[in-house]
Amino acid sequence: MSKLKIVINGLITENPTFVLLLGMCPTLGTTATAMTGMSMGLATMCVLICSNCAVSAIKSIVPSKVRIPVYIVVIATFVTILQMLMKAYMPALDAALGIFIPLIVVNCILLGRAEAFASRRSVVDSMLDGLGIGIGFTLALTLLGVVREFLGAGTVFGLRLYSDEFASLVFILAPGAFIVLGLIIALFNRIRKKC
Amino acid sequence: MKVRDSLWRMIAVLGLTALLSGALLGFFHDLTAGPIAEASARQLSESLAELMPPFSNDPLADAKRIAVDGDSLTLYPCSGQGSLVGAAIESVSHNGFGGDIRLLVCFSADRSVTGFRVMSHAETPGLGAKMGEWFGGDPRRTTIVGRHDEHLKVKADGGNVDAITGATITSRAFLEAVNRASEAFNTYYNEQAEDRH
Repeated sequence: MSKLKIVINGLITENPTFVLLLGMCPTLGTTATAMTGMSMGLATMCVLICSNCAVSAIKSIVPSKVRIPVYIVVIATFVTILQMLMKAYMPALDAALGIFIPLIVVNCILLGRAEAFASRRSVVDSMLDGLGIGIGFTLALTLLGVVREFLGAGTVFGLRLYSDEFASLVFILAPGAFIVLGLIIALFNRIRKKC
Repeated sequence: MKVRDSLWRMIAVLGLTALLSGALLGFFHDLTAGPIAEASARQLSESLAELMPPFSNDPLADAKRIAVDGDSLTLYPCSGQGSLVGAAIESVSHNGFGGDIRLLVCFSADRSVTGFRVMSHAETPGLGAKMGEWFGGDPRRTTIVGRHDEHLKVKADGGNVDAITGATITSRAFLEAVNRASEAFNTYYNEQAEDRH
């Protein structure tokens, strides 16, 4: 598989949100606004690239029986570092994402990519896979956030497009997240089948 | 059994990973501890500068703890030219819809609310989460800025503050936090008055 194909694979063919349906908890929890959705995607991408590289680098010395605990320690380390850096240099963003940053540790996208990709491929390939999947996740979360914020609050990235008196609150709440996600997946599948 | 999967090897790899991860975390903790404390102090002093009448002391250095029914609230006194111009109180209510609501409430020396900041909450987005704009001077609504009684209540409880539509519990908890802040301020104010006599 060529290098570019690895990135494209994460973006479309194996898009974590719309095709693999992994990491639903942060997907539904952080996409009430476009900004938090995008930030969550980017945060996950950072951790994913780092953890994929690390897992790929140590794959030959890790006994297969303890690989899962090792992966989790690696992922948790990167997540904790990211959280400390965010608290120090981006306190507003840290407050907005709240509990969802530590929850990246149990995001199945990270463990899934470590197990299915990084533990079998070279460091460079694993990094590209992390990049592709990360961008795919970020775009998916941003799209969900834009749609939900537009329908639910009348704004996009905080920019007011129409009065909030006409917005329907359900799209900001949990049921709206499922409805929008379902509709976007349906649309995504239709477009993918035609291609 | 292959060497690759031997018990000692498993212990060694897992132990090493944990050790390395611990070392890395310790390093980053030291690296970020300073900036984290700075960031939160800066945020606090920015809020104070914006919400309080002009003052000349360092409220963060003069901070005091004041006990208000079961909690110990932090009070930042602000003074200028030797007299008290007001104080900001970090208040909390445990009765929010989604847990604790933490506010920074600022009072001027005449005991009226000069402003507030919502510091952390876990209220419903779109409903309770609107408390910052709802109670904070939106001309269409009842604002709490400028009030100076200690027992603010929502209209449903016989008070005169409009609750957030669809979020009465949040509104009650919000006002509870404000009332507790005001109680803390009065305690402090009376202490100061006694000292002067």
